[in-house]
Amino acid sequence: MKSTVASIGHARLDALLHIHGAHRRFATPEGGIVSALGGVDLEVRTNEFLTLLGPSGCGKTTLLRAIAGFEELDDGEILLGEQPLSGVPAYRRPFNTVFQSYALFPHLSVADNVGYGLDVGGTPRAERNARVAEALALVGLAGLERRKPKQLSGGQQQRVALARALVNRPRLLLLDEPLSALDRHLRQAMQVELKALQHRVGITFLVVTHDQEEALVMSDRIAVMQSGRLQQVGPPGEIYDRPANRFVAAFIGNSNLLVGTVTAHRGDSVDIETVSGLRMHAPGGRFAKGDRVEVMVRPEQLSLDPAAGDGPTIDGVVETVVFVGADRHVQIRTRTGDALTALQRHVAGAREPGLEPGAAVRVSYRPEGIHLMQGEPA
Amino acid sequence: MKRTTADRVLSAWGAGFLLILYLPVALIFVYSFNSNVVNMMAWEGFTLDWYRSIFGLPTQLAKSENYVESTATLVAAVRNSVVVALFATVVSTAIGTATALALGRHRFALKPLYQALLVLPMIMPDIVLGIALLIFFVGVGVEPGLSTIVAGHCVFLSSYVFVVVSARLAGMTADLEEASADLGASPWVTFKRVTLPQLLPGIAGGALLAFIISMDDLVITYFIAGVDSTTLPLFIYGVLRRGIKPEINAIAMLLLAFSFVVAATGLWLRSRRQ
Ligand SMILES: Nc1ncnc2c1ncn2[C@@H]1O[C@H](COP(=O)(O)OP(=O)(O)OP(=O)(O)O)[C@@H](O)[C@H]1O
Ligand SMILES: [Mg+2]
Repeated sequence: MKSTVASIGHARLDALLHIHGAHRRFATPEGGIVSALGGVDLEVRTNEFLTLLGPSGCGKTTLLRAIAGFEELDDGEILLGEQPLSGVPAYRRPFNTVFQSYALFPHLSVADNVGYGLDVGGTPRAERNARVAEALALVGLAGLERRKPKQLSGGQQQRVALARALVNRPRLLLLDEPLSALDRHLRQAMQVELKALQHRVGITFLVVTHDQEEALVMSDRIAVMQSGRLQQVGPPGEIYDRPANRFVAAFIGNSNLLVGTVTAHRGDSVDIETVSGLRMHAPGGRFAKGDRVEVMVRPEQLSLDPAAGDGPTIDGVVETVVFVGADRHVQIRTRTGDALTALQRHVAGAREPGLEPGAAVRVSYRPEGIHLMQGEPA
Repeated sequence: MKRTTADRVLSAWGAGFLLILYLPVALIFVYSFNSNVVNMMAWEGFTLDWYRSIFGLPTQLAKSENYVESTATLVAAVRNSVVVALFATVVSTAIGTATALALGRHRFALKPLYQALLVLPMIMPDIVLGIALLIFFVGVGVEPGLSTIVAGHCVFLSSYVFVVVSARLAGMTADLEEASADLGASPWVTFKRVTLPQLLPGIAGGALLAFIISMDDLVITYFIAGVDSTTLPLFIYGVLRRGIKPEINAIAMLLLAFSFVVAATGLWLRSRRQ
């Protein structure tokens, strides 16, 4: 059935799918034009767990549907290995999708849902049954073969959708917000499970999510998207520590974001002064004196411990202390008027001096904990 | 729970409505067992003779002009009706379903106009449709007969099937069909394995509706029936024109019983599927 495409050899082992300059525009009923994809370039590597992350309406589903074959591109192309996919209908593409709505067939039993792709493809009965059983065991649903989708919980339905896609051993598995319908606990368990599963079956996963925490937990690489464009593609650590721009920095994790100018350049590091007059020291050899920069400091990089060492410091006043379980978020107003949030690990019984609102504090940081990004020219 | 005045008023209203709806039918039911030959509205005694006479069985009745002229004509009329209804149902179900699928799953120019024209036969006065069909058949030179009745019925029955199937289709999202394609099924396989099974209750409902409407259509059939193609409603109408006779009550009861059986079978099939 899908052999036409599946048998095409792939020239470069590391890249399964290439997306070049993908454009997709929609005419809205209001008379406007929405650019759901505004020129996306992306490479999906063989056997990686790639997450497409971005806020609602940024075009994630549109990109996934274009790969699956449900949406035509206005411009640009998608290549499987070296073969262009334009004009190849969805049913001839060696990909399978786990739909956001699951889209299980209500008139078929769990086993027949899972076996659908094999039945349609003409797999012999014995092999089909064996693979269905194997797939159901893989997602922990053995014993529920004869149920109808309606007789399953949301989490179980999601596993059926997963098994139904996996059983066909696709080259690429597309998952559109597969965990969004689950409660927090189940979702967290499934994040780990999904990652382990991907490792076990050795299939390339492309997962859409708008949950940055989920993306950080599961992915080998994350592609951050905004308004139909990719902002940054890279491993979670890189995205978190060295975001490409202000949007990525703000979207992933918590961050303190300030705008400043480079005042001095010393080898690998620079001195900067924020708009409000706060002076800081940070690595950033690529910037020149006078450059506008965005300054990002993660809250956990700021220390309130008076005995923190001899690094650079910032003086300020505590504004509020927010208790969030394991941590405290301490909001500080610097002498220059900037707002900074510092993270303090909560240790039961430990003395935490001077953190009442109004108390003066000295914030220390290591210059390596500060990340500079290209700023808008003043 | 406390019964309020509103509850009582509503109960009375409901009871009154049901009475108006079913009293005439109940009267016919009672009359169909009345042995009074002269005045069927005056109860004389219980008899099954009216039913027996329909089937040509021996009865106690003396006056021969009370009988249905010939059981054979009645049987022929019933057979004509069933044949017409079966053919008209099959053809109109196919046309109506195909049209519903085309309009529900594809975009094309003038779709709203097309949609409006499709439901028009349902609201068009029967007389107008009947006359139009008659003129058409005469114009193209087709002898009136069972085939013209089947063709005429298909014209408006297709609309009914279209409406019923469309309603079902509107409740079905396209994502199941996408999921099927995603799993490697060609459009035809998707139609067979996903769309059709989902649509089946709607199609069955439309077909049953078409069958029942075809069985009791009088006005349109009146215009396009030939001499030898008398259907059951035409037969009853013909008998009535020669005066109301008690056999009519028995025939009406049998017709009603038949409709009930058809409708109940439909409901039963539906409940079994779910
Ligand atoms: N068929 C369509 N017609 C018109 N506009 C559309 C259509 N599909 C998507 N859009 C628009 O394109 C943009 C991207 O939509 P898309 O569904 O890809 O977003 P998304 O990133 O998946 O969002 P979410 O996280 O909410 O699912 C949105 O602004 C949406 O309104
Ligand atoms: Mg989406």
